[in-house]
Amino acid sequence: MIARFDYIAAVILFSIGLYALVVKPNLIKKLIGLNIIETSVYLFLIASGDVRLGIYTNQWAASNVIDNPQRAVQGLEPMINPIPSALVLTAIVVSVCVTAIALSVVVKLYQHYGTLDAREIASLKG
Amino acid sequence: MIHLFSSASDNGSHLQVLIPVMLICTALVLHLIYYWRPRICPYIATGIISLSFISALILLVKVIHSPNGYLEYFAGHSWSGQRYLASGQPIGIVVRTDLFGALIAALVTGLGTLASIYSKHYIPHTIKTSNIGYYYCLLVLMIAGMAGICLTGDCFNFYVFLEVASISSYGLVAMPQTKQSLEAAFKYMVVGALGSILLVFGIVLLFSATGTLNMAYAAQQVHKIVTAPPGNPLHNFRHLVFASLGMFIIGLSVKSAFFPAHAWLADAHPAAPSSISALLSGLMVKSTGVFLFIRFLFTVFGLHKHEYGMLLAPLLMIIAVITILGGSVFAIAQNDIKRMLAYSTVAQMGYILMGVSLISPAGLEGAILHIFNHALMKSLLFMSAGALIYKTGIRDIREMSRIGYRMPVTMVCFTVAAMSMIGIPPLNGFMSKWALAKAALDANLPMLVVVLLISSLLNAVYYFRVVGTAFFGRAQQHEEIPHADIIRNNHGHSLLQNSYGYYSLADKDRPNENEQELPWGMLMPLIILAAAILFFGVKVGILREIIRPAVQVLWR
Repeated sequence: MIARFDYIAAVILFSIGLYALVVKPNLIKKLIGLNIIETSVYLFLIASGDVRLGIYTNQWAASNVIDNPQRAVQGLEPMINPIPSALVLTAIVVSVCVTAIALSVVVKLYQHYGTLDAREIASLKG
Repeated sequence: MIHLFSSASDNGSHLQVLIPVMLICTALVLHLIYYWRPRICPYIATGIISLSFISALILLVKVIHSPNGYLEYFAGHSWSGQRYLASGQPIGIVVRTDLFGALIAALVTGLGTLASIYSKHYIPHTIKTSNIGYYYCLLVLMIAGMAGICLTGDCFNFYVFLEVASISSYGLVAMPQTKQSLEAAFKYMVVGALGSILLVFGIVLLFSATGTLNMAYAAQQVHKIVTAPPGNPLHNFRHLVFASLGMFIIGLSVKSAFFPAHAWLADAHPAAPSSISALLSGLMVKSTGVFLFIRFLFTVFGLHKHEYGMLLAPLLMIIAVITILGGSVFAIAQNDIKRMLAYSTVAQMGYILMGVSLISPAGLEGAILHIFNHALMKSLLFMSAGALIYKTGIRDIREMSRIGYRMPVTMVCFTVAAMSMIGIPPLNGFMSKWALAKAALDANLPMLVVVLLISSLLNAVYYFRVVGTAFFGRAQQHEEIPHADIIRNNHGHSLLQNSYGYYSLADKDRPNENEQELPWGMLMPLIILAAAILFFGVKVGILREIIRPAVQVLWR
């Protein structure tokens, strides 16, 4: 269990982010919560490619020696799985886009309402 | 270069990659073109989307004639030209288009074409002139994303396309920059981002369990893991598979607005410009929601093959029933026409989920048929509601009395779509409801037919309310709508913000009542859609001939 402390950290971060997203009335704090949730998922993603998690990595390393299939059979020393890192780079770009567009909407909302309190910005009902 | 990328030689078509690529490339230069020549910008957008529609139709024909029911395009392989590892895992990103995907891609690009034609006249009255270039840029990007989702066969690839489509739609919902649209956009954005991040979580768990991002190969691995007996090392991975399935179901339920997570839809879809509402309700919740729901549940997780399918089916059925009845009841309570249509969308998503939850080929057939038919009906409803707002500025159903005599063609189109929605026989809505009801009877669940009937009655209540007011309502003195503030768009039209907070044209800038009811550019998409509703109602066999093999491919 302790060996998987990175997973536990991801779960804790996810809960913190969800708390901020749901409970905090301030729109900026909601966005920060969203970003914390995203970070927790990226942490999980990176951790899933870790060297110590033997089986996935070895499977991957063994099956991915493309040009020399002979080496795959021999079994290699473990290595970090690069795919999750590549995915995280893409996902970070996506979350930056969402954050940017959300912050610009928040600026516009502030111009209309003069407040960032979600309880006061609630004209849509039903 | 050719060595690296060309792989269309044996079983694949370059169109699978070209459709999203040409749309994205055009979108990137479209707002620059707007600064250079504002007038040609809408024509270029419409041109490129209709080009992609033609490509999607060609692709659909190719897929129909392909021996396996799908086309595979290999983007990237090893230096030696090898495409698969010894284990059978594909090396590069595989763009895999099956019949279901090709059908929805054709639908996406086709409706996108109509929406962009409609936008040319509608949009200058809804958003600031300086934003029109960005509007077309985001519109084309959104269609590129939705088409890409339908064509791809790779888990992460679909995620990227999903985000392309979602982020553009956030921007489009916010574009009128009224209080309502900004607030709705914020809600939509937060809920949508949460749904997407759950999907990433699901993809990660799937990747941890199977070691691949390719859907077809992941499906084989999932099958091995789930069927592994206790004691086999693969048996330990089943928890990862279950967790991943759970994440996908939650994330995609949020994206497709199933019951507990439906509230964002009712805010976001009415607040967007009507051309965008049509695409959001008609396509967005389907391609990013239900389409992926079916794709993952059946193609990847094999719900029909494994025992967890039997466990999940009642749960999905309960959600479907609550979504159907809840959406219909909420729709009756609405006075704003677009908000009513949005709640109706929630109910119709329940129909589709009901078809999926039967876990039978007939149910899936009904669900896919309803995806197709509902996209046509709801786009037409939103576009004609938008035309009413464009011409008269009226959003409230109670103020619509005798509007049918002022705008006969628009209201007749609206009525056709409304009757199809209720399920009047020769129209296409009846055909998919009939297919769903028959599937429910085959599965020995007559209660679901009762739910369908009740929902149809509720549909009749709120759609006939609009149609009845529009044609047979008492003529009433038209009272001036109180407006909060006036902004002026760059055409010199004054835009009024009425008490509902939505902009409409001021009286003096409204088109003359004596002139033709709508510009032809706006009437044409309405008439085409109404004709399509009638056509696919009468000639439902054409669709069935595509959908039946599509379900067979999914069912494999």
